[in-house]
Amino acid sequence: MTYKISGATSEAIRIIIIKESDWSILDNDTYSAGQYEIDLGESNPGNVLAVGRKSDGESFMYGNVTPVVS
Amino acid sequence: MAYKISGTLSDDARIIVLEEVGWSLESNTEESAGVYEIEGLDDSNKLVIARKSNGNGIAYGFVTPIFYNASVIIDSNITWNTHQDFSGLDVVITNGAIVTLNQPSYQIIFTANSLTIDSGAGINGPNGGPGCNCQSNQDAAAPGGGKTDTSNKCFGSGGGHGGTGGSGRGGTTTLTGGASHDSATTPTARGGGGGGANYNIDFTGGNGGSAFKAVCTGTIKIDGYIRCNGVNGKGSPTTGLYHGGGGAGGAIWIIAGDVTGNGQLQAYGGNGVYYNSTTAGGGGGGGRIAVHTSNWNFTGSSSVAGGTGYSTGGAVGSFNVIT
Repeated sequence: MTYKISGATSEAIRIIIIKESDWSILDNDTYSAGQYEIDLGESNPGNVLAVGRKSDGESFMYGNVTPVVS
Repeated sequence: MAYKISGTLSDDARIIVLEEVGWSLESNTEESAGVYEIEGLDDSNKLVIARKSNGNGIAYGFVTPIFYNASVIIDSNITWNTHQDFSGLDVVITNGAIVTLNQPSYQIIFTANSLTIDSGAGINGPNGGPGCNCQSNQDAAAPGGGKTDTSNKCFGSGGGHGGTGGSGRGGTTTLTGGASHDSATTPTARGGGGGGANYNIDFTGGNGGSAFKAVCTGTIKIDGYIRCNGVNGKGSPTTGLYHGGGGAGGAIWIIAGDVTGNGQLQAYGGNGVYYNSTTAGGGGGGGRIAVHTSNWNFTGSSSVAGGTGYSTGGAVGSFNVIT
């Protein structure tokens, strides 16, 4: 079992995943426009905070995000 | 670090600040609705995330923190045994607080935007070159260490620094004081310790004064004091034996835009133990004070006098203001 977050982005973006139980950074990487999939490992991280940041600084965030199991 | 971000929140929120260089987490705090400030940041751009308890929130990249003029208040006694970096901050020593310098091996360097020492408060450095431990039966360590008599007269000469240490004398023996050393304009050395009065552990030579350097881009205001004095020798002033030498004054090197105040700058030598005109420990030599500033408006007192002891005591040290 692997916990993942996936989606699509219209342009290149940095996505930072923060574990909401201890606010540690789980993942931090850049993704090209299109589909992306972030592998968070085999242990359940619980809810996470997902932050997207474009290269011009424009950003957005979603809290209480539940990774899916695949 | 004297940069901050601030803003206003309509709801309680967790504010997470990430550095945009390296993407490390720099701050993570729960803030109540209303005005908030996140202080203590560095000057790099930030990614700031505000997350409400329901998971909603906002994020901003390229956030530039603003500089703020922060103060560090020292209002109770503390000890500094290493360098003190308060870069960008204004440091105030107040409420009678004494900052004790306790680093005998090297000069403590203090860095800040400004330094204010209120009346009654100060920086005290009596821990330079160690006075000779009597039982070790050795001279105090170089540079500038006083000498120790190993005969049964038991006395020591004064430590040297800016001024040569005073000679000590007992019976028919005279020991010269510790040598003058260090720069008069960029002093970095501690004061030499005094020679010991042999045979009794309690009768040591006095420690030399500490070495202290204060570097401020702004003003150093001294209404209190900075003292790097040598310590008096220990011994018996009521008998013909056991007369420790005084430690030499230490080093005070100030670099500041302005120097003001009416307090004290001292680096004098400690006294040798005195029995009579032919039997006494040597006085410590005066220390070295150098001030580099474009605005010298200090109206207080200063001393680099040598300590008293046998004969003329320790020689006067050096005091220079370079504008």
